[in-house]
Amino acid sequence: MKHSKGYRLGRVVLYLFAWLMSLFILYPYLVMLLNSFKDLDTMFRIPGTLLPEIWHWENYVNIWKDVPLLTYFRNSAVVAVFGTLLCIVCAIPGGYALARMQFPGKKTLMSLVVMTQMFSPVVMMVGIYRVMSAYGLVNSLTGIVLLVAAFNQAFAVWLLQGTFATISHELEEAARIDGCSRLSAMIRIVLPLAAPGIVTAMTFVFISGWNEYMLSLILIGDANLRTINLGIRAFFGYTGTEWWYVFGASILSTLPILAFFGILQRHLTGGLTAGGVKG
Amino acid sequence: MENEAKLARRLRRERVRQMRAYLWLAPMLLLLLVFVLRPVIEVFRVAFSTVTAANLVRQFGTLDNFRYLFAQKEFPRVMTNTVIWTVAIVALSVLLSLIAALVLNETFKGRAFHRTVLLLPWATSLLVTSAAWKYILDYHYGALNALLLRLGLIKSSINFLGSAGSAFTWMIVVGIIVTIPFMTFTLLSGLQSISHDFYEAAVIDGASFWDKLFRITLPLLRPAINVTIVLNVIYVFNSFAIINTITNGAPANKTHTITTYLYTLAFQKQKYGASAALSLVSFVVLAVFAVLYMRTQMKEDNA
Repeated sequence: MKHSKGYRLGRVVLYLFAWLMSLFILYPYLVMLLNSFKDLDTMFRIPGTLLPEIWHWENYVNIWKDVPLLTYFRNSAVVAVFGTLLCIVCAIPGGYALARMQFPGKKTLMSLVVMTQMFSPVVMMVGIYRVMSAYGLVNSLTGIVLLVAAFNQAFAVWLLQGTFATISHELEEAARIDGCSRLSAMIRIVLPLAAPGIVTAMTFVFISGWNEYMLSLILIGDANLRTINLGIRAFFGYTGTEWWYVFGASILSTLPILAFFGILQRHLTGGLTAGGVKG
Repeated sequence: MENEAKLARRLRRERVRQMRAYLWLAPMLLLLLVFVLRPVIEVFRVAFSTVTAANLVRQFGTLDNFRYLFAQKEFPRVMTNTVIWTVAIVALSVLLSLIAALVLNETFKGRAFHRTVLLLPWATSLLVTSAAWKYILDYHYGALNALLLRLGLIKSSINFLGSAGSAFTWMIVVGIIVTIPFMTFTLLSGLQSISHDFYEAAVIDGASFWDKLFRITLPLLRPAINVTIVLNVIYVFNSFAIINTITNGAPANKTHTITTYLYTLAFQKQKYGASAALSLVSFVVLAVFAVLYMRTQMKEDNA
């Protein structure tokens, strides 16, 4: 089949746009990756250099010795893992009640959940800082875990409520006629069916916990409690930036999530887009 | 009479039974009340109180914090910057994401690769991306200058972050690049939900590419575009890491938006009260946006 001139022009534009977009997104990663192998001399040459002259693979060994990277990773993992667990444990019964039960004040509650999504922690940092001081949770990973769970709660509840609403009542009712309590019917029947939604919600909370930055920036002062992002931020000193650590640590910090993505990719895009449009 | 009493009793019992739902809701409510709502209330309290540099609240019922805030010479600039930041990033990102979604909805060689690239930014924190761009845009050893010099496009290094205008523009570019992936995915899922029947019918009627785009795709994509705009206005308005990392307001506090200025006021100048006052200003701005949005929605629904 012979294509028209317009069609061929369209294809050219299509390829051009796709590649330009990918190039812009990949560019900072490429810069980080290339620079993470440079030595100081090449990194700070004026004008700048594109490629490392000698590829210093040992940079990735040295960074573990020079910087308490392992502590940073451990702290980020604590925030992400426990923040996700707490968030989901609270969101499952909440989402279930909103999807399945009739009760006074339901409408108000639904709009409250939607509204809290509008309150980003960023615009209330003074309030958060003062309240956390009052609770004695400044300089504590527990505090960050609680905040990550709380500020992702509305999103998780909303997504789960939508998931539960799509699951048929019949199986659950059958189980209850057979003498199951509401709780055990939910755990045995509804939760397995809602697994895709739950995994999607957990993934997003986990990523937001791992990438959390602003809350720990204002609440964590102790160097031993730094998350990976705070650790990277600490390389920006008063005397100049220790870029050689920034790049290595940045590349390493994305690896856990990338691995996670590799496993869940297909599943994720589906779950996200479903939530995105309904949201 | 007796029946009515019975009915009332049954209704009451039903009410009590219904209240059991709150047992299920309790964990969620506890988290939201203790860690979201309480800080919101605290922001209100602090904004109208005298606060010492040690963050102690002295006296409630004063407008001093607002007076201090409005008297800052950078304040008008912070507000206009916030509007420019939000409008420019959301508008340009919607346009580019729409094209990206249309492109990725076609079948072509390398589509899977481009879709995967679009997922990559999720794996990276905004701090990391911003740090990379800070290095890229550096005047002396920055990667962008190195690249442009090597390609022969410029003769000498450009000081991208030197002036407020240029620095802010470049940060908007970074903002657009980090906004596009999520938007594109939302719009792509909207596109995929449009039935093929429409297009087949249009082809039979001899519709051109532009006819299909403006008469079928865009009108049917409208709900997805609206959701995207609302969500992203909120996200972009609340964006913090890019400006905080790349310039933190420099030069001369001219590149702040509300969020980064909030941080500077509270945690660098110890002006907690003024920072809380600015939080309230930002609530008002978001509320105005919500009202304007609902108005246009209602107008559209009536039309």
